[in-house]
Formats: sequence, structure tokens, C-alpha cells
Amino acid sequence: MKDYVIETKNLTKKFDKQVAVNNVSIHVHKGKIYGLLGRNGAGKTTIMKMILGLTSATSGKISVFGKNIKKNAKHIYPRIGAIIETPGFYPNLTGTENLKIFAKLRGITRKDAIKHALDIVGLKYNDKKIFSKYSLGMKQRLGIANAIMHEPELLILDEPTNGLDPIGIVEIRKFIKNLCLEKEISILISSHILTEIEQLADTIGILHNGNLLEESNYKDLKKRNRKYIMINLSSASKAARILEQQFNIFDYDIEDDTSIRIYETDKDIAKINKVLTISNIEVSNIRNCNDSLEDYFKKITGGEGIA
Amino acid sequence: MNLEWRTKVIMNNVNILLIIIAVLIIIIVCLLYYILRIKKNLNNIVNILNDIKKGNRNRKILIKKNNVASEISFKINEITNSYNNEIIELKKTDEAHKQLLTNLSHDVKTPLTSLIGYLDAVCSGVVEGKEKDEYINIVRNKAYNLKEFVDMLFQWFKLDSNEIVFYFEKTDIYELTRNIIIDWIPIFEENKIKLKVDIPNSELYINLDVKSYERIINNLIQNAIVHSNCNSINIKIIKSINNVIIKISDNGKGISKDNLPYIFDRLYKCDMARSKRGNGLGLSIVKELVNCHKGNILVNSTPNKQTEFQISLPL
Repeated sequence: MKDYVIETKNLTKKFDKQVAVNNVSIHVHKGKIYGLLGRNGAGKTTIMKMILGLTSATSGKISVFGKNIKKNAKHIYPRIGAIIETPGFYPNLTGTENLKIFAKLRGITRKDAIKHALDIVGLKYNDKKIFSKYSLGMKQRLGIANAIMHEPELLILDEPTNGLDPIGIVEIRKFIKNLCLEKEISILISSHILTEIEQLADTIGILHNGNLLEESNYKDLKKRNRKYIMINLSSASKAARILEQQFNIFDYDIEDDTSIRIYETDKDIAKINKVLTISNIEVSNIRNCNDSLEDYFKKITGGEGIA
Repeated sequence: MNLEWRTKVIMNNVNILLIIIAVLIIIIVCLLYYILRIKKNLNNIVNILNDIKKGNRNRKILIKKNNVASEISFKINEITNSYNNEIIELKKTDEAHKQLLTNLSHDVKTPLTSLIGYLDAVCSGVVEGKEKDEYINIVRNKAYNLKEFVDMLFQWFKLDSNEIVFYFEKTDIYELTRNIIIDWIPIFEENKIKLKVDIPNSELYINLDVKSYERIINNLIQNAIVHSNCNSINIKIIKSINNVIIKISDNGKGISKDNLPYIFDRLYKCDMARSKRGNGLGLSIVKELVNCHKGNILVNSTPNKQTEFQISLPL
């Protein structure tokens, strides 16, 4: 596929003998949010640092915008915005002055770039407050302002809501979602909080001890999260009547002429099966689907859970 | 003497000439450097434009603030940005329509297929006598529900494509609301719902499209009856300085916090109580109609206590 903004192939990072990242291949789609989910120390930050060239990979390949990052560094990095850990700003300068420095270094895309970026994150332009006096939330916001000031096509955000209060978290989350929806900016975001990734990401990569356990489309995952009884049978219309009449089930969807999805999961599957069969309906498959996302993550991380 | 003076003059001239030449060379070098820099900048811009041409709509030109090409670059960025926004907006509507069509086919398919199931049973003689009548009745109800759904859908499409023509006229909103409620009284009694109406005994003429207003109020009342399992409904109208507020509240099971932000979204159905699941069109039509009156609709809900829809219309 051409439309990957970031693609890594068998990316590995070893610190001495310890393997921090092991053979990870992630695929970030253009215009989508990719959530890297994993506990602390799973290797999320290391992957991001390697993508940004802040640390070298032991082996493996990274391409960004379809180009090898090593050969095209000069052209690629200006198109990325990033926050990795706590952003570095001059403590004795104000937010605006700090951004001015970055604007001078990187160049800008519009005349009022600094004011625009500050407006977006809700910080005041030309505020007299110096950076060291900022609250954690304001620091994080300034970090985001800096990351988006040059209107990058790709954002790499390492736990951007870390240390924010609940209201701040919701705001930042909304903001990130909007960047993707309204501007089609591609975003790679990491978190150790399941619900956060759940609410944001289109694709989720689950990292555990440096291994990418699974990379899946969120829609597929979400399907697993809904509780329902799935029945494959010979005649959906006949079955629908029986379900309504004999089991009082009205909460169902007919997927096609041979499959029904029942959302009332407290019903007795065996009994349904029996009655349908007696009524001359061939039931080829009947199953309860009630894996919650959390159960699912527990399962794939070997029972440890994720957050 | 003369010769010495002459050589001095010549030397002087040569010196001046040298200086001039030196200055000229410096200027030329500067100019060359400047031209090369512009060329490099332009090359960079052309490369980026090529990328944009290939379809990378999010690409922007990054440039230093005081560059010769910065003014033009900012303009280009501005234009690409506005076109990009437009394209994204269009794509979104397109996506929404596609989604709508998929959902619709489901929403029609499920009741229609079950309806066929009943009809098959009737026609093939599986049921007889009283049970048969009952089945036919069920089929009839399902058919009516389907029709209602299709009617709603039609409404919605018309609204969405701006095909509805509104006839705004000065109407007494108190009187109109009372008349709408009167038609509901038998149904309230049938469902054992207590009704409390608090509408001033005076007149208040505002610009309304009567049909739309009726639809708004009817839909909200119907929702309360069908979906909330309430046993009392309050309808209240309050006039304030520059708008009039219509409050319709019930004491039914309400709408959970998770669902609340989305209930006006098209095709959003609360997950609970699917047995009496709506079609996800009613409230989005209501909102659209209120918008057409330049009004506003809000909802508050404390499950099992009070759920209140509040419409404010400008005077």
C-alpha cells in the first residue's frame, strides 16, 4: 500500500543485551490516528524516537512519507511535528518568545503562525508569563502549539495527556481528534490508557515488552466488544418470526438472509437452537460474542492486562 | 616634479578604479548569492507544489519570515488550505451519505424480512384461526412502522437537500401548542400518563412554519411516550426578553450520559431498549427544523427523574 505515512519493517532496538523493541512493523495510514498502546516500558517512546531519528535503530527499516528516513532526513523532518516526553523550552522566556525561536529555525507557513498556533491550543499571544511559571497543562499546550505551528502533515505525540487534569485531557483528546477529522493530519499517538486510545485511534498497535502483539483496525476490535448472539441459519425470515413469538426477542438485526444478530444476550442459546431446529430451520452456527475490549487485551497480553 | 605628480594622480585613479572594481565584484557576488538563494527557494517551492499536485493536500511551504518568496508562499499555503478544507468537507458529506445508505438498507431489511416470515407462516397454513389473525395484525403493524420510517426518511432527505419550502407566518404559539396537545390527550389517557401543561393564557405571535412546529412538538411528545416509559409529561412555555422557550419534560427512564451528546445525530440510536428502537431520524429532523426557525434545542437528562427538551425560538 502506498498510503502509509509511517512504515517500519522489523524495527529492533537493543540496549546492550536488553531488547527494548523487537522486530516491530507498524503501519500508519494517511489521515488516520494510530494508537500505540502499551504499559510503561513497552517500547512506545523508543519506537517514536527511532522514527524521529533521536536514537538509532539497531536494525530494521523506517520509511516516512514513503521515503527512507535516513536518506531524506532534511526533507522529511520539517513535515513532522512531535512531542516526545517533556518538550524542551527556554524556562526564562515567555511562550511566545519560545515559539519565535522555533519559527525562526524552522520557517513558517503563514504570517501569523505563532499567534495562530497559540490560539488553537488556547494560550494567550504575547502573554508576559515565562515558561518556568507555566502549569503542567500550559506546558503541554505550548508543546502542542510548537508541534503544530509549522502545519505538519504528520504528528507524533508521546503520551500527550500525561499529567493533565481530567478536563484538560478531554480538551486535548478532542483537539487531536479534530486535527485528524478536520485537517486529515496523520497522527501517531502513544498511551498506556486503554480508554484513551479506544476513543481516539482508528488503528491500534498493541505493544508488550517490545513486541507488537497485534495491529488492528479499531472497527474490527470494536465489533468484538459488542455483546450479541450470532446465528447462521437457513431462513432468517422464518427465524425472526419464531424469535419474536417464542422468545420475545425484538432486539435483533438481520445481516443477510442467512444470519441474525441478537442483542439480547441473556437468552438461552441451547434453547434457541433447539426450537429453531424443531421448526425445520437449519442452524449452521450459533455463538455468543461477548468479549469486551479489556478481556481481549488481557487475553493477548497473556493475562496481565494493559493499563 | 610634474612626472611625480602625474604618477601620483594615475596611482590615485588606479586605486579608485581598484576600489570600484572590488565593490562591483562584491556586489556581483552578493547578487549571485541572492539569485542562487532565490532559485533554491523557488526550486523548493516547485518541489512542494509538485507534491501537492500529486494529491498531497496537506503539504505546506515552510519558509523564513523575511524571505523574498515568503509573501507568495503564504498566499499559496492559504489557498491550498482553503481548498483542502473544502475537499475534506465534501468527503465528509459523501461519507455520511454512504453510511446512511448502508444503515438504511439494514433498517429496512430487518423489519421487512421478519414481516415476510409472518406472511409466509400465514400463507403456508402454519397458523390458523385466532393465531392467524394475530399474525396478520403483527404484519400490519410492522408494515405501518416501515411506512412511518420511509416517510421520515423522505422528510429527512428533503430537509437535507433544502427542498422543503417553509411558510413562515405570524402565529400565536400558545394557541398552536395547546391545539397540538389536545390531539394527544386520548393517547395520554390510554397510556396512563399524567399531563401538566403550563402555557400562559395570553397571546404571543411569532414567525412560525406551522407544519414544522407541529412536527417538532409531536415528535418530542411521541418520543416521551414511546421510548421513556414515563407516567407524567410536563409541557411549559416561558417568554423571556428576546425569545420564547418551550420545555417538554418527562419522568421516564431518560437518556444516559454516554448517549446524550449524540441523540441529535442522524441515525444515532441509543443502545438500550432496542425492542422499541427508533429509527434515528426523528430527533435529527427536529433539530434541523428548529435550526430553520433560527432556534436552538437542548436536552438535559437525569435518568429516571427528569428528561427535558428545551427549544428556544427567537421572538
